[in-house]
Amino acid sequence: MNFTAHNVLQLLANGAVLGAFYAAIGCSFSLILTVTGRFHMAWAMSFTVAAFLAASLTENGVSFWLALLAAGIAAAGVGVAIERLIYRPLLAAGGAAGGAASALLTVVVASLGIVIVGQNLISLFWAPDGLGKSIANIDVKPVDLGGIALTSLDITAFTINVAMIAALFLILRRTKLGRNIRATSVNADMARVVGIDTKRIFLIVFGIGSFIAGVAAVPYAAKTVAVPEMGFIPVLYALLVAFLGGFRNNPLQTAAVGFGIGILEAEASLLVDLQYTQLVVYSVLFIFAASRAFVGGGRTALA
Amino acid sequence: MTSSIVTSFAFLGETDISYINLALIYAIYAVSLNLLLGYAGQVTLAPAAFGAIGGYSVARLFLDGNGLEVGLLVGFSVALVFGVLIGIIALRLTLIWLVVLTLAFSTIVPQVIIVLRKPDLGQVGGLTNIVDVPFFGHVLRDPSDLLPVTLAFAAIVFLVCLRMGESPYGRVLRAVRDDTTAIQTLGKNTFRYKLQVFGLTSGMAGIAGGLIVVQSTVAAPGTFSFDASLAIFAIVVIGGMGNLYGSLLGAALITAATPFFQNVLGIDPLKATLWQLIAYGAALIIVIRLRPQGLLPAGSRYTRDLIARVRGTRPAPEPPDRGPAMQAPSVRPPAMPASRNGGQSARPVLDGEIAVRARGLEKSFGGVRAVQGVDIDLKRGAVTALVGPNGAGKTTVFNLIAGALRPDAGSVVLDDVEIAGKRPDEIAALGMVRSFQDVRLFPQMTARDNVAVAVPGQPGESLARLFAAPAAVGRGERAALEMADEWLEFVGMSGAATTPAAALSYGEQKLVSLARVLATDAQVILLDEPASGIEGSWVQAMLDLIDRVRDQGRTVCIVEHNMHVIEQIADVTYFMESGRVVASGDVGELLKDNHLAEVYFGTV
Amino acid sequence: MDEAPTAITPRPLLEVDGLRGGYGRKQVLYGCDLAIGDGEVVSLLGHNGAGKTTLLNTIIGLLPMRDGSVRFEGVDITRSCSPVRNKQRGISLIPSERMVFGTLSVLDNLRLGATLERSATRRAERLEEMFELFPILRERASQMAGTLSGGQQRMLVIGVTLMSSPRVLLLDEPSLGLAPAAVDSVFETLGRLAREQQLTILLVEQNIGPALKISDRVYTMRSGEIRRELSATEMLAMDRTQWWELL
Repeated sequence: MNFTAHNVLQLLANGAVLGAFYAAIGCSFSLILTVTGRFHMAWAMSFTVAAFLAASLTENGVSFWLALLAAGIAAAGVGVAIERLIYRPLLAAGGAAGGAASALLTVVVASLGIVIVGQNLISLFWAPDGLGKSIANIDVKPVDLGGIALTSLDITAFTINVAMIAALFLILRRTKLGRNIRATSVNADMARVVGIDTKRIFLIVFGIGSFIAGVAAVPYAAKTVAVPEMGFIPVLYALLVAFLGGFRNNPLQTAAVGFGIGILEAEASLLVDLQYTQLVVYSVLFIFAASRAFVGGGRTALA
Repeated sequence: MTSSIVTSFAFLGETDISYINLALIYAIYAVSLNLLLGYAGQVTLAPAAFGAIGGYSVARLFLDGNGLEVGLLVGFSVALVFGVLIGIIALRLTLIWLVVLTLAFSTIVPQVIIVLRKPDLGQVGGLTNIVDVPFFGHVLRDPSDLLPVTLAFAAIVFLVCLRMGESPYGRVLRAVRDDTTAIQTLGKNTFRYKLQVFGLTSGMAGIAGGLIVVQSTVAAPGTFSFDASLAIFAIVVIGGMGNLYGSLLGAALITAATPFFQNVLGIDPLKATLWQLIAYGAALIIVIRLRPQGLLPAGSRYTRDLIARVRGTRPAPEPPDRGPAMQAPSVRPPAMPASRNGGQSARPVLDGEIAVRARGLEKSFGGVRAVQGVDIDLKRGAVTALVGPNGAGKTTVFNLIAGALRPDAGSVVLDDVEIAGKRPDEIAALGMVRSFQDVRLFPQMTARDNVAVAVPGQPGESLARLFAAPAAVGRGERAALEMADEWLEFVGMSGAATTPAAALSYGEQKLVSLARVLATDAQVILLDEPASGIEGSWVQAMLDLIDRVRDQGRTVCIVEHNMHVIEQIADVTYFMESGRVVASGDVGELLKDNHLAEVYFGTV
Repeated sequence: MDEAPTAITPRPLLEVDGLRGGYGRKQVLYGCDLAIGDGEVVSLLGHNGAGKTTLLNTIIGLLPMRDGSVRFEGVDITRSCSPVRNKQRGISLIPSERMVFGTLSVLDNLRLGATLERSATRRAERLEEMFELFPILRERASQMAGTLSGGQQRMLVIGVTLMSSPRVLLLDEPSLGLAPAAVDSVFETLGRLAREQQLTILLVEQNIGPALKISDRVYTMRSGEIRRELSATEMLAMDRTQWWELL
């Protein structure tokens, strides 16, 4: 593509759509990580299950919007179940032995186990033909915004993702629940002292975070197709956005990073070949993590 | 070369042997990762990425006309260099960032292969047709030709890792895993250990990657993806972190799963692979939930005898079932272990000679001047105490002397050597070692190992001598264990020698930690609240021990809140208030001073 | 041990018997008995590591109880000693460190103190009372709590705790890390609260002098056990240098 004003604007629009997705999944991952400290790689399962459920429902005639809601709820259920049935008992049983470091490693290992099991179970029973599933009941039409070409799906995805980020922001800033979540995140011991049931807050946070992941997954899958391993790349993006965004429970800050990455990635296609973009994104993550060794943040952030 | 092995496997078909090769290659991956993860406590999610370096070296060099030996050597070396580089970064990262870093690395490597053009690595499809690879001129046609090679490398890697892990070297690694700061204060250069292990185990993963390319005849990005790293990680966790035999078992089990599902359960090959993945994913969750130590736990009874043989020591007896020790040990008068450099006679105790001279110490935290112009002398062969109300700066001064903090200004001179700004292990080597208020024993190591690891100058701590001078290593190890037992006896904890530190009561842990400090042979000992948090009867035992350490001619400095403790053992007491020394001398005199009492207790 | 404290305090509000506890492998408390009367201020004195903080944290339910019992208003609450349940009963802990939500506003901190209060009107009333009590908090309402001075943070945490209208305060070293002037004002506030609001306070302090000024009674603690019980007047009458012996 050439460096024309039109191309730059077109890519800006594409980048905004992509960025809204990165922003939403980044907020989702960041919320869970910041409040509970769980390095929840099994986040990918909420994402995948939601997409498959939406595909199955729409295939059977359920409307897109109803399927979207069901997918979000199912994703939340998966997240809550993982916290309640796996992470919490795991850390209560043996995680205490080696302190925070061992707890982190335990969660990482368990969550990777969950991903392996879940992904392959889906392969066996939900996508046995190996082809993946498409989201039906959605009419994708081209939309022309003053010369910038998008699709109706792009607009829908963008709107949903932005709305979720705004809702999360309002919940965290304006409600009593949000205050309790932020309090738990900032100082869990003191939260318990003032009478907050922090275990319940953890479950709620897993629910909200996973709901966002599930809803974001549906238009993502609608754009291509739902396959069992579809969660892997998004979870890497989600953690990239979460880590670059800092751990401050500030969805706006995290969202800004998400939009930034989306727009950069889209505009970068003017300069480099498309196949480099993923490499560039992973490299940014690598360099950012490595830089923690030299700016001091690596020793302080989260355990 | 292959005939004898081939005959003994004659009942197996080439497909079976191919599975055995695969199991052996996974064993190389897993054993080396286990040394890094289970012994040294360093996390990486990227073993397969290092494997890719080895795999592509072998494939590319073979296509350019070289043998497997060249490819493996290059792959090992390049992977080792990358391992050291990652290790250097990892030294300064907390666990969560290390997880992110290695996760990113494991996704970058396959991506780099895909986009790289020169020299051509085959991109997405990989380098194919890696068949009939020569190894030292001998062409490897069938899996049975490869078997001796994989077997030899698996054996070498296993034995090298076992030697590194189950030796004085490995004891330091386990201490690094359990508490890096504590082992550094005992005089070990933790950077050296971490980098060596990061480098070597990465190189070994490179070898595994090289062999897997020959085994599968292709070098493709998919072989070295994050999923592959995950499988290796799973083998280590399932087999048992810190037990190399467990990794062999885990590699065998996971490799056997595919033919098991295919042939025994009759599932079609494509689905069998999925079931295999489900099985190990589930096993991972179940193991970490129900048996977090893995199938073969570190130090398990079945492997301990074997390990002891490798170490060149007799097998340790079963730890006796010990109830909670309610009784403080009675301290027996004799049996003060002789200090390596002569003990009591090492330095004549000159009256008033100063061992440590701190001058003009200054330290601020965020604008608050915690320590302002403090001068302190530690007299040789005396007990010096720092006291004062909370927040007076005692602990800060203690940490400045110990080298845990760097002073903003001022100097600390130990035996004419300026030590301000030196690393804790360098200070330990100069003869000054500290204890911790919260003990900080290495929880997963036995009491004996906790003390033995502190013995300085062990030949078995050098990687080179571990392999080049086994006799000296064996002698050194016997001497270190003897020394450890003597110090345990000195503090009255002989009965707990084979008990893991985490299973000791707090009072017992305090005594073992004293033995650990004494075993370093340091002439200056800094004790951080040695008597806090333990029951009354234990306090007396501890004080008697400190008395005897002083009588041996060592110099002791303590921070302590309990005035009764200080009255009993301190020769000189410094009283601090608001970051300054406001009085010093005999503690009895200080306690009579009404003004100091007002300072300590607050004005009414 | 039942009769001794009741002799001093006609109506024990909080009673602890034979309490044992600690964390992990570390046993810290080896059987602690104490009782606090309604409206009484009792100081718990002892050097670092004696187990004072562990005792408070075990009573409130942050640490598990290994043995012994806790009674509140004569009712055994040993089995339901969780921070949430105790908050509902009116027993509140004020920790010595990390006691505010640093990145939340002063107003949010105060609101969090009443998070269990269902009535919005009651919450609003209580907030107004706190602003009356601590005018500085009204001025700083929108500021992040972590940016307050040490003394102000101490006032804030007292306000946060009072938001739930507690009856018993377990107060851990309120003077820790404060400048002398701030210490005076914190103790002046505590004394006023005890008098005016009939608060019952169990106070852990290193700063014995100021603590005695507002206390009725004193327990001394050493190596995880309660050693002595005396009245504040008794202790004040002693020569200062005799206090060394007590601890």
